[in-house]
Amino acid sequence: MRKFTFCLLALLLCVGVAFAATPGYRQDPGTGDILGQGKYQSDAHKIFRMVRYVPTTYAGADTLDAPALVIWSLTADDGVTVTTTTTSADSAVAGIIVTQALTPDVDGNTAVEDRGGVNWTWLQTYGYSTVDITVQAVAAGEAFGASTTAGEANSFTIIAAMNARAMGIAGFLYDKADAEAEDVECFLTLD
Amino acid sequence: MCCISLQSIAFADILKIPFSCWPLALQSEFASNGMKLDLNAVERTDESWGFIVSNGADFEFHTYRSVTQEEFAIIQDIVFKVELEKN
Repeated sequence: MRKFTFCLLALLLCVGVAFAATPGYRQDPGTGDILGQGKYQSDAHKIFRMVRYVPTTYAGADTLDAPALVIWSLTADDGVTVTTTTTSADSAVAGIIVTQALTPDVDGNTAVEDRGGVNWTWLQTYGYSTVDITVQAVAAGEAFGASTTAGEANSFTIIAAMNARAMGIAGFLYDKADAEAEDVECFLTLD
Repeated sequence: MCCISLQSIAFADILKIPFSCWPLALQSEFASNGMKLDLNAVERTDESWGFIVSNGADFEFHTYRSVTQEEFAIIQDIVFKVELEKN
């Protein structure tokens, strides 16, 4: 009898531990949606920002195809306007445009004046993405940033003349890729 | 079970919008496009597309699955419709 009681207690203890270690898979509202691995369902897999695109030089209607690596505009200074750059490792790097961006109907508008305009698009700042590579091959695992070709990325290299604050790293590349490769897998770590 | 869980957690996105928020107006517009947008996470049901987080001068949509290109366009239209009606 004592053996049986001991076994029963041991069994109940094991089952209790097993249930305690199981994350909450409940689907009812208000339960916190804990789905294992210490993550909440609301954790970001990707982060996107709704941004305004303005080209560096306005020349009427044009498009910026996705994916395009862009920087925060140093002309608009508003935190919502992005543009392209031809500065390698530009420290103003913002992320990757994931939907085609159109140029504004009117040049010189502020972001407020452009509300509802065609030149708003989606910028990815965090998570798995793809990017086009410039005229230089890249290796897997390399950090990447802006290149001397607008919209394209290059591996991030520290050059002797670089200011310590010019750390325009956008993320890292999952795979090696040839020069001018398109849609190379990468991971953005900007926000 | 593990695979099912990963499917659920692996594709949640956050969309950050640089305008102030009128949650009820947004919820209504999303509903008219067949997307159930909750006003906070605890309202979630099986039909929920995501929920809204208002940060005052900006707001965020937290989705329960990956956003599609079509949805990007819909969301942009809704945001501007609500934003321009407000002002």
